[in-house]
Amino acid sequence: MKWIKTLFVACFVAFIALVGIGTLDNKEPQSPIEARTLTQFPDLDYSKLKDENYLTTISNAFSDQLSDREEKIKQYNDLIVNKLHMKYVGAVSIGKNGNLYEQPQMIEDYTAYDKEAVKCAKLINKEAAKIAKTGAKFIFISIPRKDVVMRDDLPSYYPDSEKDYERYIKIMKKELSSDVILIDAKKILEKSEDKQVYYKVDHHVNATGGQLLYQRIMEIAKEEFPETEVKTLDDYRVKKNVVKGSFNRKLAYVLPKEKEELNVRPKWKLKYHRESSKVPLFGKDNTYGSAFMGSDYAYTKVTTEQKKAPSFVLCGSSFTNILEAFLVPSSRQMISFDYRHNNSEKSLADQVKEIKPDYVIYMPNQSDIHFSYDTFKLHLGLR
Amino acid sequence: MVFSSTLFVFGFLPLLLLCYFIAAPKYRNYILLIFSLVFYGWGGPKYLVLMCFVVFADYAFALAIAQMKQTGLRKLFVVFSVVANLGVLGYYKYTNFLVDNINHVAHTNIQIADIVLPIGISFFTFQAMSYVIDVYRGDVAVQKNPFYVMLYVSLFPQLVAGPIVRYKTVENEIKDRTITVDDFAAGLERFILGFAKKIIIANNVGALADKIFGMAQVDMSLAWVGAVSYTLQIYFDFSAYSDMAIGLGRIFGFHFDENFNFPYIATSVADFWKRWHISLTNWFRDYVYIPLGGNRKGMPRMYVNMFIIWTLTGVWHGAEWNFILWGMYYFVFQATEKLFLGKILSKLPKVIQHIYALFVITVGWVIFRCDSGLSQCARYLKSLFSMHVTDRGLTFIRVYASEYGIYVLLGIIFSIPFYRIIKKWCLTKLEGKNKAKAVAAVVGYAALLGLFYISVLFLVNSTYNPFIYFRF
Repeated sequence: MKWIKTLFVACFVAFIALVGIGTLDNKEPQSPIEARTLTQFPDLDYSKLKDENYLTTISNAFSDQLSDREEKIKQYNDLIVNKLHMKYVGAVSIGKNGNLYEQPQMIEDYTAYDKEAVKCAKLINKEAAKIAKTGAKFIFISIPRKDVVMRDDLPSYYPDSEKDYERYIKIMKKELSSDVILIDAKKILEKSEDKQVYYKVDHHVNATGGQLLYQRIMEIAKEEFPETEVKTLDDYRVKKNVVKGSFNRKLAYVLPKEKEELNVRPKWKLKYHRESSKVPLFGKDNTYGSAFMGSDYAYTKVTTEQKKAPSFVLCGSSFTNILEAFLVPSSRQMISFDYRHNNSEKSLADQVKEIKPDYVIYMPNQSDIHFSYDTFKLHLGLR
Repeated sequence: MVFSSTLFVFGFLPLLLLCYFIAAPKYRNYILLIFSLVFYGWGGPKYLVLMCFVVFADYAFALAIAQMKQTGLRKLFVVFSVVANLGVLGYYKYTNFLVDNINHVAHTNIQIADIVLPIGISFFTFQAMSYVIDVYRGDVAVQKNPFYVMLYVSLFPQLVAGPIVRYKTVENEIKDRTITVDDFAAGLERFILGFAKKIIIANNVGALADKIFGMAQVDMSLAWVGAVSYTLQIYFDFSAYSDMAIGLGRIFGFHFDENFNFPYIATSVADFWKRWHISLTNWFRDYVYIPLGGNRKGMPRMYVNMFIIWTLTGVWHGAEWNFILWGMYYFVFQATEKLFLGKILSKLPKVIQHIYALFVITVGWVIFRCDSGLSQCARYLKSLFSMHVTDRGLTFIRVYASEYGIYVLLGIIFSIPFYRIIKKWCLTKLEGKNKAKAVAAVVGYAALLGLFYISVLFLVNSTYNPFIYFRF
C-alpha cells in the first residue's frame, strides 16, 4: 500500500512542478482566443519585492502564462458543454440547432428601464433635428437581440425577452419625433422565410438578416431615388466560412465548427473606391464584403460610379457592417463612422453637416447593455 | 496569496516542497518560516512588519512570564499581551466602525483615513495571545527560540483563515517531527478535497448568492434560494480553507485539530456550534467563558457569560452591526435551548431537529451576509417571510437553476459526510482483502488526482476573459 501512496504523492508533485516550470518558461504575448495582451513576468528586481504592485504583476503573469493555459480552458469548456451538456455556461445560453444566445437579461426595475428608453429617444430626437437641417433623412434601425427574434431555438429555461423589447419599442414609437424614421428590425427579421437571420454562434445579424434590412432601407430610398438598383442575395456570391463567433469564443470554441455565410461578394463587376482609417483594433481586412466593410474602422468611405444613387452615412456598432456591404452597390457614396474607435471631436451631426448625405442611418443593437443612454451617446460621437 | 490560486499551487508549493525536503532537518523550520513570511507578505508587505511586531512582543511577554516568580507580575505581562494584541486588533478592525458610529450618534464629523484591515489579523492576534496565556497557565513550556514562536504564529497553512491553532498542538512537532508517506498522502488527500470544495462548489454557489443578494428586490422564492446559496457558500469556502490548511499542515508534519465537523447535520444550535469553526468556539470557551466562571457560578451568571461570548463572537467576525446582531441571534437560541427548548427538541424526531437547526442556521447566515447595513438585513428578512412569490422570482430561479443548479446540488450532497461514510464502508468491507484494498486504493487515488485536475480546469477557466467584440 505504501507504494501506491508514494506513487500518488509523486504524481501530484510531478504535475505541479512540471506546470510550474513550464509557466516560468512562458512568454506568450497574446491570447488568441481572448484577444488580449497577456501579462509578462517582470524582470527580477529585489528592491521591488516590497512593492505590492510588483508582486501583483508577478501573480497576474503567473496566471496568464500558466503552462497550456488555453488548452486547459478548452478542456474545461469541453467538459461542461460537451460532456455534461449544461445549457448555460459562461454567460452563454446553449439553444437548439447549434444556436447560441446571450445570457438572459432580466429587468429588475422597469421604471428605470422605461426612463432610460425615454432618455435615449430624446437624445436621438436632438441629433435628428440637427441632421434634418442639413436636408438628410435620419433613419433609426432598432436591432433586437437574437433571443428576441429567433425564439424557437431558445433553451427551455430562457425567459421571455420579447416583451421587454416590445416595451422599449412602444416607448420609442411614442417618444421619437417626426425627424426620425424608425425601423423596428424585429418585425422585418422575424418575417424571414429562412429563420436563421443571426449567426448561430455570434450575436450579429448574418447576410440573410442584413439583406432584409437593406431591402427595407431601399424601400425608403426608392421614394426619392427611383432609379437606384436594388440587389438581392442572389446577386452575391455568399461564401461560407467557419464563424468563430462571440458566443463560441466565450466557450473557448469547443462547439463543433459549422460554416456559415460570412463573406458576400458581388457577382457582377462593381467599381468602387474605398478609403479607411488606420487599421482597427482587430487587424486589417480590405476585401469587399467581409463582415467588416465599414464598422470597426474609425472611418470608412466608399465611393462608386452610380451618380444617381443616394449617399449614406452610417454609424452605430459592428452591426452596421453587413448593411454597409449591401448598401455600397446601391449608393454613390457610403461613409461609416464607428465612434468606438473614432476619437474625432466632431459628433455625427457635425460630420453630417459637412458631408451632406441623403440618408443617415443609426443602428444600435440591443446587446448586453439594454439600449443604454451612454452607449447611444458614444455611438453618435457625443463625448 | 491564497491556496486556490495558480501561483500557490504551481509556484509556491512545488518550490517549498523542493527546498523543504532537500534541506537537512535542522533547517526545515527556518525554510518553512521564510516561506510562510513570503506567503503572508505577498498580500501586503507592509503588514508583515505588524505581524512580526505582534509576535516578537508576545515572545518577549512569554519569556518574561516564564522568568518571573511573582504571580502579580506574571499576570501583568498577560495583561500587557492581551491589551497589546487587542489594541492592535481593535485599531485596525474597529476604528472606522467606532468613528462612523460616534459621528452618527453625536452628529460630529470626525474624519479619519480609512484603515485597511491586515489579512488574518483576527487569527494571528488570537493565536499569539493564546500562546502567552498558555505559558502563564503552565500548559506549555516557554519557547526560547523566537523564530519558533514566529513559525507557530505565521505557519502559512493556518495563518490567514485558521484554524486557530494552540501552541500545545504543535509544540512538540515544531521541535521534532517526522513526515511519513502516510502523512503526506493523507495531507494531500485532504488538500485536494478542500481545493475542489472551494473551486468547484464554493465559488459557484457564491456567484449565485452574490447575484441574489445584489438585487434591489427579491420575492420569497428568490430570497430563500439566495439564503441557501450563501449557507452553502460560507460553509464550503470556510471549511475548504480549513481542509487545505489541515492537509498542508500534515504534509509538513503538523497535525492540526479539526475545525469543522459537518455542521449542517446538526440537530440544534448548540450542536451546530460544536461543529462550526470549532477552534474559535474552543478559544472563546477556554480564554473567556471559563475564566469568567462558565456555568459554575449559577444560572444568571452563566447567561451573562454566554451573552458576553456571543457578543464577542459577533464582533470578532466583523466591524458592522449585522455581525453583532448575528451574535445576539445565536445567544438567544443558545440560551433558549439551554432553558427549555433543548429538552423539547430532544424528544422530537431527528428530522424535525435537523429542520429546526437548518432553518435557524440559514436565517442566521442571512443576517451575517447583509453587511451593507441593518436596513438591507431587514429588507431581506422581510422578503424571506413575505409569503409572496412572483412570476419574476420564479423566472429568475429557472434561469439560475440551469446555470448553478448542479453546484447547489453538489453542495447539499457534500454537506453530508458521504465521503467519510463511503470510505469507512469500503475500508471495512475490504478488511483482510489486500489485493482488493490495493485496487481500491489505486482507484481512489486516481480519482483524487482526477478531481484535482478538474479543479485546476475550473480555476484556470475563472481567469478566462474573452473580449466580446472580436473579429470572426
